Amino acid sequence: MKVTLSILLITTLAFSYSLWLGRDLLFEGESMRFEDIEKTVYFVADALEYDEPILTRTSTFTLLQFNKEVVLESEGKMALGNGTPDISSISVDKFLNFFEIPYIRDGSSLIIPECILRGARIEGNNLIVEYYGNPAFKYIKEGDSLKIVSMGYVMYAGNMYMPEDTILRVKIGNFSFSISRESVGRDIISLEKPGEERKILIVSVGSGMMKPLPLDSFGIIVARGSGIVIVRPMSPDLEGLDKKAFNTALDIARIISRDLGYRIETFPMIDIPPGTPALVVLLRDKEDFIKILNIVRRMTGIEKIVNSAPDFDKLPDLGS
Amino acid sequence: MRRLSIVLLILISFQILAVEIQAVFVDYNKDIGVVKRFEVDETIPVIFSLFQQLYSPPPGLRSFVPPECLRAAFVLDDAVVLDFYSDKLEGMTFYAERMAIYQILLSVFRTFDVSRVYIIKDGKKAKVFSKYADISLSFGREEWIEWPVR
Repeated sequence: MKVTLSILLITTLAFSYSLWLGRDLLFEGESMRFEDIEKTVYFVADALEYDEPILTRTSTFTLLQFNKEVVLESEGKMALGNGTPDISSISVDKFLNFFEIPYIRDGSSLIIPECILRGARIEGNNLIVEYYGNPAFKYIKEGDSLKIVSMGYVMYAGNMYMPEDTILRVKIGNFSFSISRESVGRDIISLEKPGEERKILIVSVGSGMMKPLPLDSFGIIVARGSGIVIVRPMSPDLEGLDKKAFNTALDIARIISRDLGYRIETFPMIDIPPGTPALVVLLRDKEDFIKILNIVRRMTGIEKIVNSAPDFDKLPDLGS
Repeated sequence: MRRLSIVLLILISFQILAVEIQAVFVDYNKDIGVVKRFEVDETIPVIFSLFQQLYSPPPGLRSFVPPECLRAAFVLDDAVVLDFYSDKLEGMTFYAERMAIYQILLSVFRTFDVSRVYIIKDGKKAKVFSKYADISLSFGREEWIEWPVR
C-alpha cells in the first residue's frame, strides 16, 4: 500500500509543471483548464505586448482568441482550434505550443521570457534597440563595442538568455553613449565622440562629402541656383528620429527665406544624410553665402567652421 | 496561380480604393501645384489611370513625370509601392526631378487612402530616383499632402 502511494506521488510530481514569466510564477499544476488558459493568455499578452485576447461568452459556450488561435469551451470541455469540445484540460507545454508562446524548459519549470529583444540597428548617430516586454537588460561598454547583457530571461533570435548572459555585441567605435528609454519598447542610444566639437560643415552639392552629423552640429550644402533652400523631409521609416534635425533645418530655412527672400522646398535630397541637421542652398549670388553662414551661426551658436566659403564660380549650377 | 490571385487582388484593391483621381500638375508661370480631378475608367487599375493623366497635362499646365515611366504598382497593407523603369528617369534636370517627385507623391496620396509610398526601380530597391532624390526611405502622407514649395 505504501509502495503504491509513493509511486502515485512520484507520478503526480513528475507531471506537475510550474509555468513562469521570467521570475513571476503564472501557474503550477499538472494540466490547465480553460480558466487557467484564459488567465494566463491575458497575463502573457499584457507582459509581452501581444494583441489583447478576445473573449466571447454566450449562454452555451465561451470562445477565446489569442495569437491567431482559438479555444472553444462548453460545459467544462474544450476544443483547441476546430472540433468538438472533448477535453477538460491540456498539459502546460501543449498550451504553450498551441498558442506559439516562446519558452524554455528547465526541469519541471517552463519559462516564458519576460522580454523579447527584437533587434538593434544603427541610424545615423543613434543605436536603436527595440523589444517587447520588460526591458530586462543593460548596456555595458567594452572596448569598441557596446554589450547588451541580460538581467532576467530575455529571448533574442530564438535563444533564451539568463541573467548576466551577453545577448548582443554592437561595434560602436570610440563613442560614448547616453540612453533614452521611450515608453514603449524602444531605447535610443545616442553615440557621441568624447570631446567632439560642435561644427558647421560646408560642402558642395554632389561632392558626397556630407556625413551624418550629430544633432548639435549643422551642415550647409551649396550650389549655384535661383535662391532656394532645401530641407530634407521626415520619413516614416525613421519613426521620428529625424524630427529634431528636420525642425532645426526648417527653422533656419525660414530665417533665410525671411531675410534673403529664398524659397523653401521640402525635397529628399540625396546629399543630406537622413536625420542630419543640414540644408541645401542654391545660392543666387556670391554675397548670399556669408549672409546664410551668419544666419546659421546665429541660430545654432556654433563658431567652428569646417571648410571655408566655397568658390562660387566653381560650384555646380542647378538652375531654378 | 497564387501570383495571378495576388495580381487580381491588387487590381481589385485599386478599384475599390478610388473612382475619382486627383492628379497634380505644375502651373506654367509659377512653381505651384495645381490639383485636377478626373473620373477614371474602372476597366484599368486606378493607379495606371492616374499616371496616364500625369503623362498628359491639361492645357495651360505642365507635367514633369516622364511618359510611360511606371513599370508596376502594388498595394501592401496601407502602402503603395511604385516601380519605375530606370531608363525613363535618366537625364532629368534637377528642377524636373523635384517637380516629378512632388507631382507623383501628392497625386498618389490625394487619390489613395494610404499612409506610405515606396519608390523602387526595375523591381528593386534603389538609392536615387534620377540623380538627386533619395528614394531609399519611404514617403509619409503627413509630409506629402501639401505642395512642398513655400
